[in-house]
Amino acid sequence: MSDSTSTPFFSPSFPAFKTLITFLRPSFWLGGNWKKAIKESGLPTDVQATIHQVVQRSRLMRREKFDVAEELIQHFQDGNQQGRSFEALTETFGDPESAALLIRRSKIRNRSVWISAARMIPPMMLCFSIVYLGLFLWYHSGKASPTIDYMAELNRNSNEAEEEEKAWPLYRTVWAKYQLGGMGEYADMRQQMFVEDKGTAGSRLVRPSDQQWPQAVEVLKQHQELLGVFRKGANRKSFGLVLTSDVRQYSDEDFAALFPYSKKETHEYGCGPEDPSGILDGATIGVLLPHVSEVRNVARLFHVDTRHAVVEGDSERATTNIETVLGLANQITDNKILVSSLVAVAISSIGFDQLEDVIRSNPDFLSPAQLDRLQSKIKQLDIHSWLDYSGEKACFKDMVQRCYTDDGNGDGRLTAVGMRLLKSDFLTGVTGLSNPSVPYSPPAISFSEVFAGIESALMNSEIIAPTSVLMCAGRKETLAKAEEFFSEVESDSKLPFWESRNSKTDGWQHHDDFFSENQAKFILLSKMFPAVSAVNVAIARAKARQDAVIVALAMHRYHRQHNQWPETTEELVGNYLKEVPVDIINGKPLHFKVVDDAPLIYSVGMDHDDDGGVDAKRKGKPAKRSSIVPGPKDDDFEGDWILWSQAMPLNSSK
Amino acid sequence: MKLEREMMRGAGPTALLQLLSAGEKYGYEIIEALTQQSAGVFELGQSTLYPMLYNLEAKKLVTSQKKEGPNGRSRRYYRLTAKGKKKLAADREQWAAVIKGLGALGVTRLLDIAPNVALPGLALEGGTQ
Repeated sequence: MSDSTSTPFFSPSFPAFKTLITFLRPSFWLGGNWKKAIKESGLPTDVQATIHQVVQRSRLMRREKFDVAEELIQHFQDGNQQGRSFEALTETFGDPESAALLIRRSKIRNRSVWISAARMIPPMMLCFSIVYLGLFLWYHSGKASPTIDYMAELNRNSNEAEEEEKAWPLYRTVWAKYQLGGMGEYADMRQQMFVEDKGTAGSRLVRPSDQQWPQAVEVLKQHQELLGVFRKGANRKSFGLVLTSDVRQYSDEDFAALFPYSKKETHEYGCGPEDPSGILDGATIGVLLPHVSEVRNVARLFHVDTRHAVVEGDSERATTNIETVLGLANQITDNKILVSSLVAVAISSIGFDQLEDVIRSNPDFLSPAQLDRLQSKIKQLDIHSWLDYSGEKACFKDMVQRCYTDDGNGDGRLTAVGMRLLKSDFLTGVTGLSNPSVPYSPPAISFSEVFAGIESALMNSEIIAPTSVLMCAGRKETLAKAEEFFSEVESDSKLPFWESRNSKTDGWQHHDDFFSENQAKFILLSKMFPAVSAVNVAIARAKARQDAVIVALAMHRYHRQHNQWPETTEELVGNYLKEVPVDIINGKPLHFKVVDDAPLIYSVGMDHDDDGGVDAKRKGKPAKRSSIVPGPKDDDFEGDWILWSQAMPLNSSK
Repeated sequence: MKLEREMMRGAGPTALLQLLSAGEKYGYEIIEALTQQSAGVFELGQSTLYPMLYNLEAKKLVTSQKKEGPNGRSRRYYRLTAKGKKKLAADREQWAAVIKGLGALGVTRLLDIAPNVALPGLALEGGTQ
């Protein structure tokens, strides 16, 4: 027996190498012509028939049959040469059928493992082909049949609002004129609102001290009508724009306002080349939100106008502007889509910045009544309610009904069209919210680029797509898993931040791990499940800022009345605060100190201890406040998280 | 006397190995030699021989080679491998033990089993009974 463990593969004596050589020989495939050999043996017809019968029935490989035929021919020739008649030899030969069976068994035992394995390939290929064909037909025969209008769920608040509660009919009147969402004279003009910030190498809103200020004031004058309309509209309950993913669904007036440079008849609609089947027509995933970013731009315009109001000594206008911006933040969330919530966070932040700006520039600029008004307005902002996953859930369910078949009992399988959409970058492109840990990344190994190419090709191959029927979870299982995850997220969102998963070291790691391990099985969920951690943190940051602003306003009101600052926040409870807001990091009252006759309100920050209101540092270097992500204790940080920075120089606060 | 099928299945391969221990042989030659040397006890159905040889070949106890015989015709010759020789030696010991055991039990006497068969290496203690 050869020792394959010590014989090099390329040695001629290595079994696999020998088999390879055997395979490469034409004689292996062509064998010998055993029928011809029998015919030309010169043996009598009866003997030939016996040999033929044995060889034929042995059902061996061509080469093996030839060997057996040759040997049996020799057998009869030798026997006859020894003086025995062919009749006698045939008689003593035995039953040809049994002989064939025994020869077959023994010859098969004689085959090398390699040949036996090679012999298995064709039947296996056949089986595979049959199974694949079945899967292919099963996969391509699946059709989705969406029945529920989830867009209506997103539009519920807009649809339920009374006409006079909707702001959009007002906004629409100035939207087109001022080219919100478009290009042109006014849009260009608004660029004057920004200047380059030498400190941060980015751009910021213009200030009265900037050289560009007079031009900005001129732009503000040009936009008085727009600002007036938004001041009026921001008091209304609902934004009121009915959302759609199909521009043809907009009324002519809405379309003209939102897409001033486009014609409804020729405007692209649906998902274009990404969805030739049109299964996504009307899908919530493609919902158009052309107004959202423009509302933020309007909020910035208000910020500059508030600075102008301070210059002009118009405290009422400044107060109304801040109220308007906070109203816009609230309005924009009426569709319950997380993208809108994140924009609302940004807009509310613009509102808080304005207020801090005003008080920093002149602490006595706003009257006690105006301070009180603003405090009430800010308190009314239910930022926590912005952390609402119902829109995402509706979008997910909508995609399920468009990507899966429906057997009538809530179950179904992924369709070919659905799989094609899921494998494209379409989802990430549309929502911008899909979990960043999920996108497919091949393992980092040697020749990683080559492997990555192959793996990626396989992952995206149309050829292996039908196997998704075996790999991917069905409709029911997918929905059940989504329900489980969304429920967990929703119940966590009801907890105070310091008790939520985001404050724990492992956070939402179990979700990320699940999606990494089950990317193929739960492909839709892994692509669509929102980046919970990022959203929760954004909302928590906004909430922390809101609480600090409320405390700041209460302190200023106290100061106006007592001509001194309170010693503790508890002194504010009653006349100025209903209760002392707590630090989202640890659930304890927010800290403050007075510096140069101005309050500084802060959270304990990422090191989770009170450093006396010292601005945060990360690894010894000043940390941007925007880089502070509330969560578990992080030893890289020291200092506190300043939430109301009136007492600090302007440059270090922005 | 011809052996029953089950007996042949056990003893046949050893008989073949024993026969080939004298040198390489081709198929019909083996049949003839078996019949003659075993006085017909190992008279194989001729079609049985070849599967038996192929099985021994599969176990690497024998090896075969096609070559020209003295009469100029090409034949397949079988011969023992080193492994086959070891197996034969082991079989001899086992058969000796079987015969001894059967003899001790009084099932039969050695000469009744195969009076004309030479059993090399077999030395019965206490002689024949």
